[in-house]
Amino acid sequence: MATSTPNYGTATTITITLASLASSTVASGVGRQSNAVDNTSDLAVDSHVGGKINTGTTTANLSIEIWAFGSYDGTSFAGGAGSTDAGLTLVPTIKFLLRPIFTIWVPDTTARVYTWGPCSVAQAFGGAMPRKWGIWVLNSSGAALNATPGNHELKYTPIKFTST
Amino acid sequence: MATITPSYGTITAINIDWTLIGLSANRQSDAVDNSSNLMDDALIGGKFLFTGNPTTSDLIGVYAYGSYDGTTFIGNGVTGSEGTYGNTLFDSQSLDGLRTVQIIPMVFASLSYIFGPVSLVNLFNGIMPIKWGIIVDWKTGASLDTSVSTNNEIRYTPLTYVIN
Repeated sequence: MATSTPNYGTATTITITLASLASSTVASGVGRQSNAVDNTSDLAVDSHVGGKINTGTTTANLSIEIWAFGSYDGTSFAGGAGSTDAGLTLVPTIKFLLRPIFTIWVPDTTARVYTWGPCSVAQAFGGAMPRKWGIWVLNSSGAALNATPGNHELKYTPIKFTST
Repeated sequence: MATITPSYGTITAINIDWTLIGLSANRQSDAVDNSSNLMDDALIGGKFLFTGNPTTSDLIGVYAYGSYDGTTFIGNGVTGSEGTYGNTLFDSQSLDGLRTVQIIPMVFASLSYIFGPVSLVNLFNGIMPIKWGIIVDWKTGASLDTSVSTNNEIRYTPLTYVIN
């Protein structure tokens, strides 16, 4: 009798410039996208994504949204995202071409580190990993994020299944 | 010890005649035969580009149809062959058995609306139908830019899982 067990790969940083990311209203949708992750080389059955976001002094009762974008052909990305770390503006009607991953609720005005995840990338896309995927962050906390790059991170752990 | 990994097949276009689609002229695609393709999943995505200016209440609905026996297709009027689709029982509230792939609200002209990838298996509750295809429900009077054949497309990536 064979047993299937998860095989966790190396946790890997996804490049995204979150330091000093300005706050935007949800309606304006001025956010930041990450580099794309290529699953045709990772060959992960799933990937757990998560990270840390360090806010400045915020406005209470706002949020930071985290969305996943994918590619259906390895070249074009949902919502018009690109393949590299860059600013990306997605108004709500376009944003919904992406998949929601996580929403960080900002309950008060205190500057703090919000740790989020792990979130299943495959689940965001209905159970299957896209060829390529990435993360888009919309900071709607009311203030720019912390200015130190090392105070933020975005990582994923590729997961395969091993039969023993 | 064996490891299970995804294997992405050749990206394949879904056959829909984009020059004939329009308001009150929905289209259905040719059926894809999974009894020969033997995919574990199909990742669906695509894009639309307009010449005219959609109004804010316009939208495009992309739906999937399937077959439970290889001959009969869900959704009145689905034939499994590319052509018009005029099912009067179908609307966004009563899907007549069709599955929603993506609803795309129209906001901007001269924008490539890119969507996907969407897992077909997830739409059919975990198992690939023996045959399946796509319906495009056109609720915009704006015209597609068909000057370049790749401006508008729906494609799928066959996905299988390989035991290494």
